[in-house]
Amino acid sequence: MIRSPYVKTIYIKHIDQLYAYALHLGFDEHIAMDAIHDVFYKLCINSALLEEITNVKFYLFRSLKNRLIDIQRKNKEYTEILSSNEDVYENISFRLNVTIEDELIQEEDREEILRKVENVLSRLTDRQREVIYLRYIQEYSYEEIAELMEISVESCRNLTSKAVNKLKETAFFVPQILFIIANLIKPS
Amino acid sequence: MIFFISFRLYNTNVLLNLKDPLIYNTKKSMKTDSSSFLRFLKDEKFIEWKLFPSDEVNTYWEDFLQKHPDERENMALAEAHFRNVRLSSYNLSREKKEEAIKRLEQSVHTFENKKKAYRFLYVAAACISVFIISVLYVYTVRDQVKDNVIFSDYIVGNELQSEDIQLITNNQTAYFQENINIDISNAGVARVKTDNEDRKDISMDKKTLNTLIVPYGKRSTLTLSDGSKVWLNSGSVLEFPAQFAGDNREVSLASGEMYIEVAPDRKKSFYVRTSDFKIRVYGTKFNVSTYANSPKSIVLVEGSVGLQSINGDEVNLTPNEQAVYSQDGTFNTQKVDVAHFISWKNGYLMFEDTPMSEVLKQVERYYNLSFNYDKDVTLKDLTCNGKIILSENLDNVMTTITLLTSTQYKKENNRIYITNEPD
Repeated sequence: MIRSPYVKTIYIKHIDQLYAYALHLGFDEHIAMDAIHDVFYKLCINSALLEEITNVKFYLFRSLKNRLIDIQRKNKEYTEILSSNEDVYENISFRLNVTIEDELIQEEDREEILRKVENVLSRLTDRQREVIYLRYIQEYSYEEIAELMEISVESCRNLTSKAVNKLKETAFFVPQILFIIANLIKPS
Repeated sequence: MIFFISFRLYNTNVLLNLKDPLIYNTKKSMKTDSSSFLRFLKDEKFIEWKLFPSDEVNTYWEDFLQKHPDERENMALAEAHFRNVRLSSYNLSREKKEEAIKRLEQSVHTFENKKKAYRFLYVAAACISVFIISVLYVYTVRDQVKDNVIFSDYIVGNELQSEDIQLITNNQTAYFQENINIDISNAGVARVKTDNEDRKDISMDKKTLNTLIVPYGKRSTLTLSDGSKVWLNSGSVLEFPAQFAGDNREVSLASGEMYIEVAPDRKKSFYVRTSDFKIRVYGTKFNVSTYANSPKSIVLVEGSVGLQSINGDEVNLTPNEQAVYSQDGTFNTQKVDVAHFISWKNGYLMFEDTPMSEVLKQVERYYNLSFNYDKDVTLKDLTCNGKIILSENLDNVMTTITLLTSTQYKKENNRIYITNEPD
């Protein structure tokens, strides 16, 4: 039996969200469950850890993310020279899964809206989608999001900032280039 | 029934302020107005505004509302309905959750059993112990050779003159240019082997202590007369007897870093002395590091050790714990990943968020180099994550380091220059 009933409570409370986060990060069901298992295993065998944690949910999210990045690094078979976490994280996508539960809207309309929402989302970068997820669905503060994603707090607030768009130099999507150019052309 | 709702444009949490009755109350009028709020929901700019507010879209909708105040209600409706757009709806079934909990319980159960097994080992007779000690290494010649040419934002490395390994017994010194392996027999005779299979037998003095000096750039292994095995890292000095005659077995690590597997012997405890503290071995594996320019520490891999500092402070370590010795004679302990501390013995170094300055320190010792840089140089604070294989070829090592820290290097004559990567 897991000694601490508290751990079990935490598990049941957060596992759906942790699972969802892992899937959004592009990992499959099995890896997600493995990673979640590893995170909680660590908690179980080190009872002192629990006492030090002030924000349990945030701790779990951050541990899960780190664990997933580690797994990604091993699976991708980087050469003996291990890459930094940043390199691995860059290649991790972020997909949201859109559903509309609204009885009052007819099915064709719902489908159309869903398509449009997916269009808009697809124009964003992975990291922008991740910020949206963490802010509006998990309701983390900008400070927490900044820590989870290792970007600055201002970048979180301003979702269009360069820092959220890319961790390193990567290609822009055309609409974003236009948007940025448009901003530059505007008289300041 | 139609009612007017005002809301703040910039606050995307406005949805939370709208009450659900809004939707149900306007159900009657939905058929005739069905297209109006849907228009907004199908407008990508509106969607963008709800998902991803920025100054541009905020301004756009603010202007829109000023020009079309009659659309307020429809927009409010659309916003209310947008709440039903879910961006994340992965859920685990009840069975999967229970399965996962069982798996976790199983793992914890296994772990608890393992713990019990270890406790049993502690209580049992002393078994093979493995630990590493690193102690202050005073090497005066080294200081003199340090180059005084310092560049800003450059790190310059020099290869130093290589020194020989020395085995001193009864005032007689044997010199070796290559890494050696020494095996001391029961009778107290040292059989010295080099990498290319050369052999030399040296008779050790049984009355006095013998000394093995391993300079920077070299390493050696030594098997003591009781069968205990010692690995000495670069820049180490070990004093040991040819035979363990008294009640105890004792060696002294005057400086450097050592990894030892202590052979079991119930009757004679094994002690390792350093200049600052003494380690008593109960049947464990641990690592001790005490270089002059790095914090002195002991890392326990397996089993149990007792540490006693010169001023009497005593500490017992549990596995995966590190005790760092501080100047005031006390030990600070913390949990660590032991692999990082003993990997050198297996020919590689592991780093996690380690500053370049520390990385270079370890590389300096292993390859007998000297890196010089201005204390203000930004390069030294770059962090390194990863693994460096301590290959024979220094170029491979430098390539790895520069890859892990995003710097670049070039070798000219016998100097290595490390600089930032161009932006």
